[in-house]
Amino acid sequence: MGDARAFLRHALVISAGPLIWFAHFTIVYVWTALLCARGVGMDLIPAGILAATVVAAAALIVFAILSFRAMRRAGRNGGGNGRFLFAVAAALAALSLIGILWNGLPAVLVSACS
Amino acid sequence: MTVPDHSPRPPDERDKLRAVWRAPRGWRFISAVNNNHIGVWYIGTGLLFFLLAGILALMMRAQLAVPDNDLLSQNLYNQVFTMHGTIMMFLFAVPVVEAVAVFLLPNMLSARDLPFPRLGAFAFWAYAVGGIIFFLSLFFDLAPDGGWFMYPPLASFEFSPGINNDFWLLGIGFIEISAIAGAIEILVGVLLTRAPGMTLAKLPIYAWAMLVFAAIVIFAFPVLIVGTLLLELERSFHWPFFIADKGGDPLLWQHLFWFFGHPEVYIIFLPAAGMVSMIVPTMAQHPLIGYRIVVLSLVATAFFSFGLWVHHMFTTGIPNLSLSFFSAASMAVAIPSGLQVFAWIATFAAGRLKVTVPSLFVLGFLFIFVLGGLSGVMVAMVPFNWQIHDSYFVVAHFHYVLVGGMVFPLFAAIYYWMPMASHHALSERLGRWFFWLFFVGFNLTFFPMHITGLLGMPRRIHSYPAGMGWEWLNMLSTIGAFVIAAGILVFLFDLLRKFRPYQQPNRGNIWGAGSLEWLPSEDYATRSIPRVQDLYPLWRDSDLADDVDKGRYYLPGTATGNRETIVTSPVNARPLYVLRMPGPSWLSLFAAVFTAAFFMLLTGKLVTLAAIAGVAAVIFMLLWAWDTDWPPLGPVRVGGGLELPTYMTGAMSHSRWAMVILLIVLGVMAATLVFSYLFLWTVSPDIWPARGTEVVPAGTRLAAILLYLIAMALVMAAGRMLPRAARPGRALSLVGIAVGIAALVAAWLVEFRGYLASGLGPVDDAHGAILYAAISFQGLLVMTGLIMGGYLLLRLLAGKLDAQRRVAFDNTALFWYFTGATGIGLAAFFHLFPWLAG
Repeated sequence: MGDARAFLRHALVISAGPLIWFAHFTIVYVWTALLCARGVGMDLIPAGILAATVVAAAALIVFAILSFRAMRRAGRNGGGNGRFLFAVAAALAALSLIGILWNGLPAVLVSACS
Repeated sequence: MTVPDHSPRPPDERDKLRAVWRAPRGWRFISAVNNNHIGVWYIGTGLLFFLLAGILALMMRAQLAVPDNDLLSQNLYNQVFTMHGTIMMFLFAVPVVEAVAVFLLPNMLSARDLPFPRLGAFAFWAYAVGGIIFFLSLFFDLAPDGGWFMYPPLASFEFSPGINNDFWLLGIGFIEISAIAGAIEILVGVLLTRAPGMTLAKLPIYAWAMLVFAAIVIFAFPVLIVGTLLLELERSFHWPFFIADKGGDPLLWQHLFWFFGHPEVYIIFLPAAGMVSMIVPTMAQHPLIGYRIVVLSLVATAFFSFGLWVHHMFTTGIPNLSLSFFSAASMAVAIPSGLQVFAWIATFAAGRLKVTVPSLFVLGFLFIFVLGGLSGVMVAMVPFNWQIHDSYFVVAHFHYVLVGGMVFPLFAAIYYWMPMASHHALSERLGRWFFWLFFVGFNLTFFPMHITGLLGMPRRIHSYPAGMGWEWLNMLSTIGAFVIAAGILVFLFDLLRKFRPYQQPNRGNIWGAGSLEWLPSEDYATRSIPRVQDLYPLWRDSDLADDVDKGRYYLPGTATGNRETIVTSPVNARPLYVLRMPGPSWLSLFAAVFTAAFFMLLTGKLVTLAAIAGVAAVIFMLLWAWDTDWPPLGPVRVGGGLELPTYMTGAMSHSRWAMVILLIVLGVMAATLVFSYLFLWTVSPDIWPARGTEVVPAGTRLAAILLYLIAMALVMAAGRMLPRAARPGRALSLVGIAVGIAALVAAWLVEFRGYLASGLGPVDDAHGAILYAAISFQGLLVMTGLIMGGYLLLRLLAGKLDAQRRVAFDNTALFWYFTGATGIGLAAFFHLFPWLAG
């Protein structure tokens, strides 16, 4: 059981950043599509997107910092898989951060339902 | 004792190994299942489809060479461009990257084979037989003609009567099954059959790429399978998922298609990028710069690829803000792709580049792919996209990305790995001719199309009038296409002359590569399985090849008398057990042929014959499975002082991993149906029942849920009552499973009768259609659960299932839990949603 768990843990740590990106992406897309389709609460769209973006960005920054620290800790303990895992996880979180900022930006630039 | 172990080996050890792995002779050769054989046929079939679709491209270019041409009729032209796109994507690109993996991965990971050889054979034969029948439809004027993305309403029953588009829907739907089978094989292979010591941090980049590739397939393909099923249901039975008059929406198809279709681009590109990441270090004689960055970019691309699909739908009237999200993600995905490109350039710069044919193809790839990436950023801009949508600019863009991103790396790979697959390498001189003809021809064909598109030429037109300013550009493109064809002819000539796959020994490591696939090998792969300490084991240890070949590492002979490989843990590659594998078999081949027959006969509306073929396919699958749950043996010595078990149940059974992945596939299908339901509700709330209305009475739903719970409880109880040795307890588990089957079927019947009694029919409106689609999907799960349960009863009666030998049982139980949970989840969702949202 330990080996399967270790794998799941690795998969989750590596995917955490992109998963947050994906969750953010899904939320802002569904939020916009739903309100535009129904024609209700359209004024709330930009605020909702900004809120989701702030929350996702905060989560990614925290996760990236934790991963970076874990990477340095693993490095001091001889490197190996741990260092590799957390280095990739931290970098992916950073990349995902760029992704969600990019995705949140249209909320202040583009009118919602036109 | 450690490895390498220099003590003398028994003299007949290698001969015994050879005997176990020997391929059948004569005409029985086609019953081989070993990856070295299946892999070669698989790649060959992929290339055959490349040639066939290439010929279709030449026909199109001949038609478009001059204005007002009548070489091909409009009807035939429609079939030709549809088949060109479809074959290139579904019968060439995806299968061939899987094929290369089937051939390469075990060698690169130092496994003796992929973990499910018969599944590999099944995937290949299903694809080969189905694909060829699909292609032949062209000769009977029956080929699909709705474009490779089959948009309704054009592709639906009203505007495309006849069975042409059914060929696409059923043919492609079933080739996706083959692709998923391949992806499962690849995932389990990479995760569980690596050489001891090959941790995730020492995994060759190609294996990382294939891991990511297979994960994308697992999440993307099921969405298309559901999409094709819905469209086929609409075409055959008029269930109106995509008909606006009845509350459906043609855009639902586009969402489903492109949710698969965009990741598809990366499904094709990432394996190719993985190949390049193996070739570049060898050609530069320098380790890949930025290994971790490349891994990160593979993973990031996989995720980002699922946030891009709407950029194929920028002109469909979706709100601007929504379009902007996809535009932003389309630009974001350029970052990881760019990182990889810089890693390759840096590796070239850090080492000394040997200019060989593989290097030339890699350089050609970099040039073309970067241009395609740049025009990709252009088309990601919404306002620009509106101008060039459905024009030749798009045709130019995606050929730069796909041919540059996948075909050039594929030819680099063929030239690079040929010395390992064949007795001779391919010719450097002819290879250069091929490269330059292909490279120049490609740019001559496709670069002018950017301009033709900007000048307003729409794609998919079979002729155009003179005087539009398109004539000379089209002529250039046609000349370029024939230059490519000349290059391909040179390649085929070279291949015919030099490719000798089953002649030992292979040409060997002529490039001085560092990865394990270059170890001396025969049908059994390498003589022994090394312990890996580095990303480039052959560069680190110059004695490795000799030590491996002299049997100084693990499993130097056959430990159980069967074909076998070592299963290692997925993170640290710690040896866990010896996996016994089946040898040559007709069963998987027949199962594949009858599966293909089932789908093709269904296309021709020959329902009775299709049903017979379907039953035959299931019977052959069960017969094939019958032998694969081996009787447990005791532990065996595998060398280096290591003793490993030969049978594994529970969380680390490779079979369990495959089942879990299959359940993820089915879970994605269920989620797709729920998404479709919600999407249709969003666009057509007027056809949904009023808030609080019950389609099926709550009592009926509850009865179904209770019966699912009973079935799940019974299979759990049966698992506890499995007989220890032979007799005692058998009766109880038999009863548990039999009653469990009855409960499972009853659960479904109760709910289905509830739908029938509701007065709502699947053809009434989109709401009825999607509910019936969901209950039909659940019915398929229940039927599969029933067959698996019946199979368990037979195994119990035959004395092949007990408390130790229980992998078949565990997998079935897992499937039942899933079926029960899906049934309960769908019943609860469809019941509660109208209460909440109405």
